[in-house]
Amino acid sequence: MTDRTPPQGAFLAGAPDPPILERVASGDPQAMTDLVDTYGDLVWSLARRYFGASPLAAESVQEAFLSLWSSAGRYSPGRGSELTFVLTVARRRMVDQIRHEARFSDSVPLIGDEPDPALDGERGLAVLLDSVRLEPLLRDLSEKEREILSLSLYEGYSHGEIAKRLGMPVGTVKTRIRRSLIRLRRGLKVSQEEGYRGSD
Amino acid sequence: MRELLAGEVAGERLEDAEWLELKELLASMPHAERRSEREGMEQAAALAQAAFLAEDRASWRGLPEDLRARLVTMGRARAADTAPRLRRPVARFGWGWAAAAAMMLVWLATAVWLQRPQPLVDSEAIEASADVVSLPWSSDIAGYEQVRGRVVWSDSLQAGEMRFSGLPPNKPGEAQYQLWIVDPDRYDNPVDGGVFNASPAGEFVVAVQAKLPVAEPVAFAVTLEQTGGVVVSKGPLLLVASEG
Repeated sequence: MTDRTPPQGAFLAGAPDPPILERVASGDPQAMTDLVDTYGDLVWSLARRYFGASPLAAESVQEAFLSLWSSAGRYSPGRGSELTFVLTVARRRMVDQIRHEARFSDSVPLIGDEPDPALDGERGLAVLLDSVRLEPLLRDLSEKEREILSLSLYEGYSHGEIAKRLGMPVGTVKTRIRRSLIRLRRGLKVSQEEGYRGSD
Repeated sequence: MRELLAGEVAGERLEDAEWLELKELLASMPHAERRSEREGMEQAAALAQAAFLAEDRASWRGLPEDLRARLVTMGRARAADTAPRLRRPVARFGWGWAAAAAMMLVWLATAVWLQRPQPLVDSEAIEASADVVSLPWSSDIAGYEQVRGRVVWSDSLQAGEMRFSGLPPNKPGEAQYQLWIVDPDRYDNPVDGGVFNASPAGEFVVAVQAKLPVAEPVAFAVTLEQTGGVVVSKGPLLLVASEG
């Protein structure tokens, strides 16, 4: 197996290593491979959690990388880390995909499928996820808020599905998701500002 | 505004009234602030998604080798094919005929579910808008070189209109003109700008019907399609109005 472990710390804003996206934007063919090898496991894991065994998982990953290749030139380290950029683009494509497939109905989500045979990216994924301290991001949310947000953002359930699952009115689910996300946004902004101050 | 934006970013399908309200609120903000609000919310959602994954080790998966191989092949082919166009200054200002002629226009899939009523904005308001852009039509397609006119667009109003004279009339029952808007900062594919008919008499004006919010478009293009428009256009691009 090839060791696809990315260098630690390369994904933080202001990290010294040149971001892969800059090389992608300049048309470096090796950068295309590096991008897939560095972020492929991450994007795939997210897509699998979101779409389960559906072919939409592979489609959304493909769409995400197409988007990354074409939008790499718009990446600016001053507006967030490369990892954040990749995650944002990947999520956008997943949401597009799910909307296109009209999965925001009361359908049963495709979760709980058989595991993928290949898990060789696990080590790289651990390094990648450790490179940004994500845990504090969710710290201020209550257990219920975390549960609702996880079902929505991470597992791709519709508001109707979440309401049914948790026995709550749809309006309450909607409001909690919106407010939790606003709180995360606020916390993220503060931590980014502190990060910039700290790097001065 | 943030509640609506949070809902949209979380994947919620906003009610028509909410969607219009969000669109108007965003349009009233300076471009940089609007971008920052949306970007910040999207980053929060994406990082939260990753944070949930970080806690859920059992869901970590390795990219299947066949998918990896496909992506690498696609990426390398893309690097060989399009390296010069990926560089931002070229992509932004060099959207010329060479690229335009080769371009396949794909109507954004999201437009299917995001089609909403457009607020009517009059010509004077668009022209008076501080961020109005005005681009002339040009063409090197036989039968269209004589077309005169321009497209004007305002990000803040999310409204625009096209003026034409000399545009060959279409047969409305068979074919209609379709506008495409190129907004590479936000969308990989051009945004559908609506279908319209050419008036046989003199100059005429058509409102732009952007199916998605557009910011700083770099080009507009017109094709002739089957009545009602198409999802995927093979062109040709009969008219183009671009910065480059």
